[in-house]
Amino acid sequence: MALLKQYDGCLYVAVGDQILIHNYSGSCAPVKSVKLPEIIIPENLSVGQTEVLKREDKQIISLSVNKEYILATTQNKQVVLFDAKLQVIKNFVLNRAASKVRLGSNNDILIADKTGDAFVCEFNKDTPALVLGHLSMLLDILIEDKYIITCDRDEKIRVSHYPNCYNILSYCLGHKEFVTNIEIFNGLLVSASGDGTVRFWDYKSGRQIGIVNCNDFIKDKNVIEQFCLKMDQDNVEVRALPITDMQVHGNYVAVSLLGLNYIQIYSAVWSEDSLDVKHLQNVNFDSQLVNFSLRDRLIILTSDKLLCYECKGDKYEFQSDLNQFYDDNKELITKSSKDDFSVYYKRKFDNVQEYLERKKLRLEGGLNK
Amino acid sequence: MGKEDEVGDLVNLPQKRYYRQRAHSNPIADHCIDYPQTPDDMDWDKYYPNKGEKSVEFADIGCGYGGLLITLAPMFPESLMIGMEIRVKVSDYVMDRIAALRIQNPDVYKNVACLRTNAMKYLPNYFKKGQLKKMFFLYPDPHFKKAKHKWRIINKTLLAEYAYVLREDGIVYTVTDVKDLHEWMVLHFEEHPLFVRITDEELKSDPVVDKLFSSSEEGQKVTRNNGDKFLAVFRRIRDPSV
Repeated sequence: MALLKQYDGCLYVAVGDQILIHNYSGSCAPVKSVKLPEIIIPENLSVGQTEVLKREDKQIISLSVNKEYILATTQNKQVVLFDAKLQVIKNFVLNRAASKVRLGSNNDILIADKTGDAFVCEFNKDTPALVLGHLSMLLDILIEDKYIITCDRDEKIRVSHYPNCYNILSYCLGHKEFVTNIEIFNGLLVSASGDGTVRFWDYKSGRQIGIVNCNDFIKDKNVIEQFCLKMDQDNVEVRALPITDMQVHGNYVAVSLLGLNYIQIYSAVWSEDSLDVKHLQNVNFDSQLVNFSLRDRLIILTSDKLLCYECKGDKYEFQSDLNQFYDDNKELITKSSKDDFSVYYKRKFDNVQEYLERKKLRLEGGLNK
Repeated sequence: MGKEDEVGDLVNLPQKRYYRQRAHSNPIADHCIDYPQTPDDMDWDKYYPNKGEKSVEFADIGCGYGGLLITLAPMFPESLMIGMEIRVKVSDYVMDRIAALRIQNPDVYKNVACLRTNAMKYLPNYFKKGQLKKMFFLYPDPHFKKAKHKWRIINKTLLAEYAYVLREDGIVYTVTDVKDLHEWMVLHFEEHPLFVRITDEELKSDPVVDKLFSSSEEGQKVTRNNGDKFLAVFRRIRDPSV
C-alpha cells in the first residue's frame, strides 16, 4: 500500500521499493524519486532466509521523514536511511520483519517488530539494539522526553523509561482491541485502536483523560454492522469498525476507519486539566482511501486521485488535486497491494466450554452410580 | 496419587486423574481467556470471600496443581495469594481443590485462589505497579528447543513486566530440576538491573524456601525420582540509574 508523508512543503510517497518526492509548494524541481539500494544479505543465513530477503517485489511498509533524513523499511526486513540529498546513510537487515519504524530525536532509528520486540539504532551505531519486548506484535513506537512508548496487538500501551528501558513506568490500559497508532499530542499521549476509539492519556500515570468513539461519527451505521457480520463469519467477535490510521497536527486529530470514504477530523484542546474534544468535519471523497497525510495540508491518496486540502479556520478545505503528479506516477501508485486489517483480530478458539461440558457429564454420571 | 487425595476421599477433594494435561502450552497463541481490561476492572471479591480492603500480594505463576498455595495459605493468613495457570484442566483442578478445602477447613484457605490466565501476557491487566510482594516460578516449562526460548516464562524482556508488578524489595523465587534452565534464569535475572540475587546465607531465615522444594506436585515427583532441584531467589531493587 502506498504510504504518504509530508515534511516542509514536500510530499513523500512510498510505493513498492521507491520513494517519490513531490515539492508541491516550491516552484522548481517538482518530483524526485529514489529507489531502495540492494539489500545487503548478512552471512550465515540459510537458503530459505536468504530467499525471503531477496524477494523481488519488495515493498516499503513504513516511512518516516524529518528535516534531515528519510527512513524506510520493507516487508522483507530491510531498513534504509537516506539523507536529504538522497544518499544512503544506513542500509541494514533486521532479524524479524518490522511493523513500524520511526525517526526519533537525535535521528535515532526506532523499530517495532512483529514478534513484539523494540529496537533502537542510535544514529552513530551500525546495528540496532534490543531495548524491550512485548509478547504480542508491536504496532507502533515512539520516544518522548525520557520515555519510550510502545503499543501492541493485545490492547496494551507500555511506557518505559529511556534509555533504561528495563524499567516500566506505566501502562495505558483500556483499549478493547489492537492499538494501531500512538502519537504525542500537546503533552498527552493519544492512541487509536481497532475498538474504534481514540483515547487521550496522561502517559506517566497511565490515566485515561479522554475518549472519542469515532464510530459515533459514522453516518451510515450499516457499515459497522456489515463489518461485524463479516468478521463473525470468520469467528471473530467485533463490535466496532476499526481505526486504520490516526495522525495529529497542532490541535487536530485525523482518523481513517476501515473502508470509509472520508477522513474524520477532530480538534482537542487540553488546558487546566480538562480536555475538550470536538468532531469538526468528515472530509469526503468519492473513491476508496489508500492513505493520507495530515499537516497544514491534508493530502489524501485514493484509488484514483491525489487530493489536497488546506486548513482554514477550523476546517480543511479542498484546495486542488495533484493530478499531474498522480497521473505521471499512476502505474506505480496503483499497483501496490492493500493491507489486511483482519489479521490483527484474535481468533478465539474455545477450549474451555467443551471441557466443562465433559466435566459436567462426568459429575452427573458419578452421581448416578 | 498424593497423600492428600486419600484423605480427601472422605470429603470430596477433586481427583487428579480427571484433570491431567500435557505439560506444555504455547503462551503466544491467542487462548480464549477472559482478562480484565485494567486492574481496576478485576473483581477479586469473587475469588476471596473475606477480601475486605486487602489486595493480592503473592502470585504463583504457573501454579500447576496448587501445592505451594495450599502450603502457604496457613503460613500467611493475612496475605492474599493467587495461582495463575494457563492449562484449562489443571487450573480447574486447583479451583475445585481450594473450594473443597474451604469447606473442610472454613478458616484456613480463604486467602488463596486460582485463575486460568496467560501470565506472560496479562500480568499488568491484573496487578497495579508494585502491588506484589512475592512471585513464584516453580518448575516452569523448560522449552528445550532454542526456537522456543522466547516461550520461556523467564526471558530477557519479560523480566521488565515482573519488575513492574513487584514492589521494591519484593522477592522472586525460582526452582527447577533442569540445570540448563536454572542457569538461564540466573543469567537473565542477574543481567537485569532491577534484580539482585539473594545469597544462600540470607535465605536460611526465609521460611518459604523450605516449602519450595517439597510442596508442589512437580517437586514431589522430582524427589521421588531422586532428581536435582535448583533454587534461585532474587530481590527487586530500586532502579540504580534513577
